[in-house]
Amino acid sequence: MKHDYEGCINYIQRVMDIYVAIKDKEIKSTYTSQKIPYTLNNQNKIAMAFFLGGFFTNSKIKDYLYEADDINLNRLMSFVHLGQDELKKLPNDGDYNLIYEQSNIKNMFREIMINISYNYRALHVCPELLFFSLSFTNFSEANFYNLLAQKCGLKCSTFSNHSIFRKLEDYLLKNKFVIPLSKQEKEKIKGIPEMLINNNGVNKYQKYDKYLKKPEEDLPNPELLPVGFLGKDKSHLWQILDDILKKFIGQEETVENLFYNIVNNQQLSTLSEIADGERSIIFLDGPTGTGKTAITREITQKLNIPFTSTSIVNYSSTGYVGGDITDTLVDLYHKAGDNVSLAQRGIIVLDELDKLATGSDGLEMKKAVQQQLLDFLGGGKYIIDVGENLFDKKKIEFDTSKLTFVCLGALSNLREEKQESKRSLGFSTEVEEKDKANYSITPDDLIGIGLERELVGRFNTYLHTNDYSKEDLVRILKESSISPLIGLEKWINMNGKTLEIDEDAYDAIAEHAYNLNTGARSLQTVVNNIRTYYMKEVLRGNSPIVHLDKDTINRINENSINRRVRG
Amino acid sequence: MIYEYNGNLEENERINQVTNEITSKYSFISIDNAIKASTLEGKIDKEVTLTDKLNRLYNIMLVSSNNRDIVMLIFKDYLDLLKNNNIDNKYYYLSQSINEYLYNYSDFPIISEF
Repeated sequence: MKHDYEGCINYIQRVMDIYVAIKDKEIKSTYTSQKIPYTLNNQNKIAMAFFLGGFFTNSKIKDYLYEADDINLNRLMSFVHLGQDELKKLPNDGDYNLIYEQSNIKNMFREIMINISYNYRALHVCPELLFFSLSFTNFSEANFYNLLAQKCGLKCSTFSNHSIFRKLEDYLLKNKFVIPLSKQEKEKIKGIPEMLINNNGVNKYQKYDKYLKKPEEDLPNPELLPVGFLGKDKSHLWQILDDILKKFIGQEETVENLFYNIVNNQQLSTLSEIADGERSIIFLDGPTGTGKTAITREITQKLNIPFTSTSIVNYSSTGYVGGDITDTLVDLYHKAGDNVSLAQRGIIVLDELDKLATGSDGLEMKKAVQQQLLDFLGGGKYIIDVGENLFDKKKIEFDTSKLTFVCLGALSNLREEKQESKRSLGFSTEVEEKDKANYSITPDDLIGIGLERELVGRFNTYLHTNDYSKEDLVRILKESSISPLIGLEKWINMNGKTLEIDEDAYDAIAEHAYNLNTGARSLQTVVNNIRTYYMKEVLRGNSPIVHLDKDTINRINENSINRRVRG
Repeated sequence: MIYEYNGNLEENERINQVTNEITSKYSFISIDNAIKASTLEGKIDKEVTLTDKLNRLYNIMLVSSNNRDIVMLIFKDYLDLLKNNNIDNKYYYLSQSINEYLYNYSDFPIISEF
């Protein structure tokens, strides 16, 4: 992570340098669709600074920018090139040297860059866009990304997840230096730039693919794994785990187990073959609002693993109405930056799996989906269509044997039955409350609710999130970085006022939230009620302090919450 | 507008993400105001509700209420949502009050009064 961050800062500094050099100067371009000279406005200049910051390798450009009085974009573009001499210095990359000796490839790079600035008038042109466009000419192999990123001064080992750009966005946001894209513009950069397609609808540069395409088995695994997964030093991973644990108070055990299972699967995925049953296929159950989805998302995001989440109720077996479950593979492929090797090590979260349990309705269809899921979880090879439009028809083979599957289910009725049976065993009330979480879901339970035995047999790791106690909710409010009170306080501070909270106010919020019975989600509901109540006072009132006490909280929430008490 | 799931994010991360979503849709909203509007809403769940959408638009209008032209632009989207969906009276009455505000008859309405 530190590695990425440094790369980002270097890049920003370079962009700032360029921007300072050009911000007060008139810059003309003839790269417009009508060939009419066009003077760049300030936003164009910002975009240009980002563009050049990412791609120039010639130090003369800076001198030129500072010295020249009349800057011409055409002249500027001539400085943008991939330095062939520098490229040759790279060790063990004979293939790439060979590629670069083909002068037509060099020219092609120039042409693509010019085309992009032509199409977008340097507006919103950023490295991400350029990389994206390059990927349409089959430059998308991870090695090539990394090589290109290094050439451009972007040190990033997880480029395909665009983590560097997320950091970049944060930085820009903090410094009020953001170029927002409109929806139409975002749509536009999703497709192939028109200039890259000739009149017959064929990618102009396809003929060069043979020079650039490397066999996938040559890709080194370390490049494809998140930072910290290889080598003896795993401290980086444990730091990530610690950070996540601080967020999900009350679910520590589940977070740890899920984290270890995912890390283990990632490490296994580097092997050429995985023994049957060694890879964890996880079934995670728990009441609504206890963080099943949030925990899984957090772990995958922090580990930079390609991730896709889908509700199983959206799917039906092929031939029936509804989506096909292999759609998730296409989604994963795109989220992995169109890198199939990386995508094959990703994580698929199948939500609401318990809805597949065969009830009285849709029995046949549910069985059919379960059957399809059986092959899917077991590890099969699928041919998926990953083309994004009519001109980009592309089929690839996707092996699911190294994927990590996390199946989620609320199992409300089953859990209640389990808890009820504990009560009937005669625990005292105090013990009962603590013991409620200590039930366990067994394969027989899942078969009992109507899941196929073979499907249940695929799950080899059972985890569950606990219902929150009132004490947990108080701890979340006070200690967690996802406490909704943080947002409330920030809003009040932004309006020039201060928030004061009595100690017993925390208990009151937790009490109301607990009664709502929707887990941590209910804390948000209660805090939203508080925010709405104080809106007028914060925006238009004169008092510099907003004081939260138990009585006020009770008054605010009693009307809205008592309608839905815990049964 | 994009309403991406943000249930796992820290408050500051969530505010940044929502701010980006707002400025991507409405580039004329200042970053400061977008941040203010972001702090006014809670977490977005897996399934975005109509109330989430209306609340976000209301919050953006609220923080931009010193500029009627901007509120007018957002209000169109708010009305579109109302037209295309069944919604409880609160948001309907709120729209009437926003309309009065736009015609200079009143201050911008505060949602807690509805």
